[in-house]
Amino acid sequence: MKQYALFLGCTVPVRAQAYEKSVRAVASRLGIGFVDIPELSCCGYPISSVWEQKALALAARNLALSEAVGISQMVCLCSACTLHLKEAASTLAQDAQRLQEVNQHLLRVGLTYHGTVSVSHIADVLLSSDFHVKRDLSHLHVACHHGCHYFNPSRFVNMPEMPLHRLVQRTGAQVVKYPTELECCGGGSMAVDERIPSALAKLKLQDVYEHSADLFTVVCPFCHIVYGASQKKLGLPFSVPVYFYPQLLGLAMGIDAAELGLSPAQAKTLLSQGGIPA
Amino acid sequence: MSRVNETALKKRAALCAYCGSCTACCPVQSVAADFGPRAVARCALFGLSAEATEASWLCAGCHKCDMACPQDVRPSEIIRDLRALSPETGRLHPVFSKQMELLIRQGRLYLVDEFENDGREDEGLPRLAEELPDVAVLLGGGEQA
Ligand code: SF4
Ligand code: SF4
Repeated sequence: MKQYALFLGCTVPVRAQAYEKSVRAVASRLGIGFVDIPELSCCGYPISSVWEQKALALAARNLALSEAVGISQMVCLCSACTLHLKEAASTLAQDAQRLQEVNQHLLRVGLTYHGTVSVSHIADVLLSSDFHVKRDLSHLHVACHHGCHYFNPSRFVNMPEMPLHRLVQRTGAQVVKYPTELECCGGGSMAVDERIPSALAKLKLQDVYEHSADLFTVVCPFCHIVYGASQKKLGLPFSVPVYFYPQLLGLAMGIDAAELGLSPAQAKTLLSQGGIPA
Repeated sequence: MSRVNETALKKRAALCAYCGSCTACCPVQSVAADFGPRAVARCALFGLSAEATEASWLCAGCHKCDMACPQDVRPSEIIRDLRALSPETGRLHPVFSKQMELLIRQGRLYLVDEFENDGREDEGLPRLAEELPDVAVLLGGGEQA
């Protein structure tokens, strides 16, 4: 069994427990093992644009904690955590001087990092797993949102084309293509000015609605906050249900709704007609 | 101390051909007309003005502008540099000092206390550490706390 250190970050464990539950439920059936390290902290991303070195030290501490329990692969559920930890891991694996500088800081908390941990996004881990679908979801029309921090930066050029499309297709559901699909959620500006993600979310959800999607799927707690949790505040004349991809996958695999953080009503709607749950 | 210096910043900004490709694809610009990576790059050409730093805070960090720029200016990195220099120039945005404060105090942006952990346990999720004093040490705010 492949073992990963499970990196939850700040948002998932408190504001996206359905995501965490569904990831755990799906992984345990796919032979993906998680090691929980309770002392993992913020990845450092939120402060990285202002305090780059401190943010690198936070990332290194998290990587070092994984290394210390003998786990050389870390998996993240949040796209911003993935990007930040991936960049930190690659910097520290390639730049001996920065590794040494960071270790001087880590020494103050009794840790040393040796540069051996690699970081993936849960979507990529699922993409490379085999799964068998038990329930038919072919009636569902699903619009995807990849998220910039998972998908965009050109420095990770090995990204397969539209990974979420492939993942959705593998559940048996149908992918809905829409023009604003690769647009940003604006989540990165939320703390400074909430109006930016709100305005962007309106445009995108409008587009998704007009393309007759039954639901919208994401692989990041932040994207879920922007499109799902904050949707009511947008004052749209319609609503678009938002689910984490592992919830759909779990449903297709025949896992119980409760284990996936889905209400019975949500599961029933998804399995029967698609569309908006009661 | 930040790794960034003003000379390098200006040099980078001087590569800008003012073509506007970055601003044309910027998601924030599409909903906040007075923001744009081209304008930030332009301001940075004249150094660390208050306007340049002010303009940097709305960026969502999507990197679309970097991919669009024909001159390899990487506007999002100019934005990061402006932010990185802001504590020294006294222009740090309060949102970022607040986030720093939260991380020093609790190690994560959202508090995980006993109540939260009990809730997690009810959902069948493992408990997380409630105190993360290491983080305060690394962020330079809590050696004595
Ligand atoms: S990184 Fe910032 S400035 Fe560049 S396109 Fe994205 S939001 Fe706009
Ligand atoms: S795309 Fe590059 S060259 Fe064109 S305006 Fe933006 S920063 Fe300047």
